[in-house]
Amino acid sequence: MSYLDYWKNRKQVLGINERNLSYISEYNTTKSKKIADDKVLTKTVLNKAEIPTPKLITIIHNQKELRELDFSTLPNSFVLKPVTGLEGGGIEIFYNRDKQNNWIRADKSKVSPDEFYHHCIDILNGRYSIHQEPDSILIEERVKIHHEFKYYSYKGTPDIRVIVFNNIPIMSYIRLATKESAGKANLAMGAIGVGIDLAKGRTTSAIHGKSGYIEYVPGTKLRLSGLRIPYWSKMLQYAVEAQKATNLRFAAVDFLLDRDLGPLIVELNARPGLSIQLANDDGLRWRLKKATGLKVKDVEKGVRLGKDMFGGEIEEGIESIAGKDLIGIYETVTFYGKDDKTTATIAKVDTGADSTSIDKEIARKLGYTEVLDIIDSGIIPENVDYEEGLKIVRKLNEELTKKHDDVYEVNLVKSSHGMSIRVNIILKIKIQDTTYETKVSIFDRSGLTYNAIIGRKSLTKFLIDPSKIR
Amino acid sequence: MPGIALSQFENNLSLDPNTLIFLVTLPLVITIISFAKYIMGVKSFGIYVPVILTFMFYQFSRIDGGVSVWQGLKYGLFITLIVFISSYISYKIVQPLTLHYYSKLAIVTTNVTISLLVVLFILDLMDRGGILRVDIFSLILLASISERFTNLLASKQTTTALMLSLQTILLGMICFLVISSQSVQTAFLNYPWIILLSFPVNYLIGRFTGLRLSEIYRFRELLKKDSES
Repeated sequence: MSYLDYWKNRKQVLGINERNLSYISEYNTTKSKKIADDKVLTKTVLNKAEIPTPKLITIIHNQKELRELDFSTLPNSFVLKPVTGLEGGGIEIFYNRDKQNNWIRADKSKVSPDEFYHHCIDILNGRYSIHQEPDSILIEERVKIHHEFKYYSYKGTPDIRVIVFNNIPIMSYIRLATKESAGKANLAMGAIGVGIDLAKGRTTSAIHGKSGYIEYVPGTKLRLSGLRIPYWSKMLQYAVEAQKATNLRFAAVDFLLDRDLGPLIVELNARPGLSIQLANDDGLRWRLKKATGLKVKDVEKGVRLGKDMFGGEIEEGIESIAGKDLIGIYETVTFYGKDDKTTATIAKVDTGADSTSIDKEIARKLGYTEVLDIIDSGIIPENVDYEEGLKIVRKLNEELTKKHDDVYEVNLVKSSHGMSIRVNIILKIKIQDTTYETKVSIFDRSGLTYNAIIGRKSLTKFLIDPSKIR
Repeated sequence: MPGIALSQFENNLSLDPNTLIFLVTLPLVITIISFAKYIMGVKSFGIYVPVILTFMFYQFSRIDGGVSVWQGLKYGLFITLIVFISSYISYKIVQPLTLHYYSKLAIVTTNVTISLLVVLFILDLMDRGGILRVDIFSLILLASISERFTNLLASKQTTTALMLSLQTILLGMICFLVISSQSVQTAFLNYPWIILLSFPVNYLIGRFTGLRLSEIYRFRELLKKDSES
């Protein structure tokens, strides 16, 4: 890695200076910025263009209206926002209210009517306003979290951002709330940003907070990459339509995905942040340059162009599987047994089977006589029903794995003739040039065509081509 | 234009020479702040606060017949820290209270004023009079900085607010070190027309679209990648 590479790569990444001078000032008019900065105006303009937004409940313009507002007419669950707020400041989301009329937040904390009133006054006084000027309050329906994201986002609904320039979607990411970010989808507070492949609408790489790469949802084994975003093409279409409607030529369009209503635009941003580049592990600059000056006739064309030019994950997909060997349905498999004993046979590659199994004869050749003796001793019943089988397996598992080093596991499997109990060992096997250890069950396959089948759990290292028959 | 060297006027004018120095070096201070922001990526609270800090450090450095950089830094930092710490503590106290925002602000500023008064009073009792030479104007400005700081605490996370404050104070210190240097002062007093350099220099900074130094760090992982297309 030389300094020269840094120098070359800096051409890919967009910095604040260039964003401000070459894109915001150049392409966003004062009038269009005014629309983006005012959430009520945004809503009006978008609704006129038939682009969905969360349903408006009411707007409070001043203290008089606040005093006159009958709080009991508000639903139990809603979102309250400063109309010209910045970076989510001052936004409150209420999920319910209790008998004392306290509003309840996502984290179960309560807001008393008095605190609620003061928060409203603060907003009206312009505390969260972009220009620190008197502001209004927007109250709208709460967006219900889409089931797809339920386990990915802590409490709050994730927020999907699409950057659009010249009517072409340029880059996108989804922000997931974490415990750290108190259920808010705000990266500065410790939320997670996950890049989205524009062509397929699937998540790619992720960052936690303002920097640090991350692979899993904290505290879980849920992979952040590969998550499918529902309504993806629809969302890109709305993003471009929103750009056309507001005449913001360089904009970030923020969506929430409602369980029932689908994508809703919650906010337009005339000054998109730059962290999206880290989440996508790619720079915005070259994409913006590529999109500059293109003639985009209609919305469909814009979406198409964005997907084609910037949905570059397909090549990478092939790269990640390219390391795998291609095998056919029937393969010669070599088994490595005790005391350097080996044997080879033609096995059936069977993706319909869960795990690998071999005939007793193979086990004998490999020197697993002790295990065979157990199988033949008659302590393992032939056919069992599920309940009974479970009980036996539990007992045998404990007994046999303790007494015999070779026995790895006793388990219950569904076979052609009901439930069967199988004894498993760990065996080293070789298919083509790949040698690895895998779990293998032993039973009498003498009446079957193949004396070994290779199941799914042993096939993760390969790609299977059904047309390749030896 | 050597004929108008300001140093020649110094003895004839009733203008305070320090005021003159501060005035002629102001464009330099602002240029340094804008350079720090756009080229280095230093984040401060606007231009106003670092200028005030520079000015205050300078006020404190004045001793009979010259400037003492050490004294300026010592007293300046001391007073600044009092302002920041007292704003921070008082804001944390009023934060959970259900009060209008400006009322909270007024309480914080009152606390800052009281803290300053108490400290100055104690120092006076201890006969450390040097610090008392500060004029009332810079104290008022300083107390007003606490408003900006409180605003920051209210709208940003504490760590962000503290980082911003630290960078602002450092920037003020650097600007102070530059303008208190004897050679800078001599240069500006003898050749005041170098102020005009501010125009082309700031034009160039204003057109700079490259990555800021802080962004090169922020995007370092991206910059390490092999470039595409």
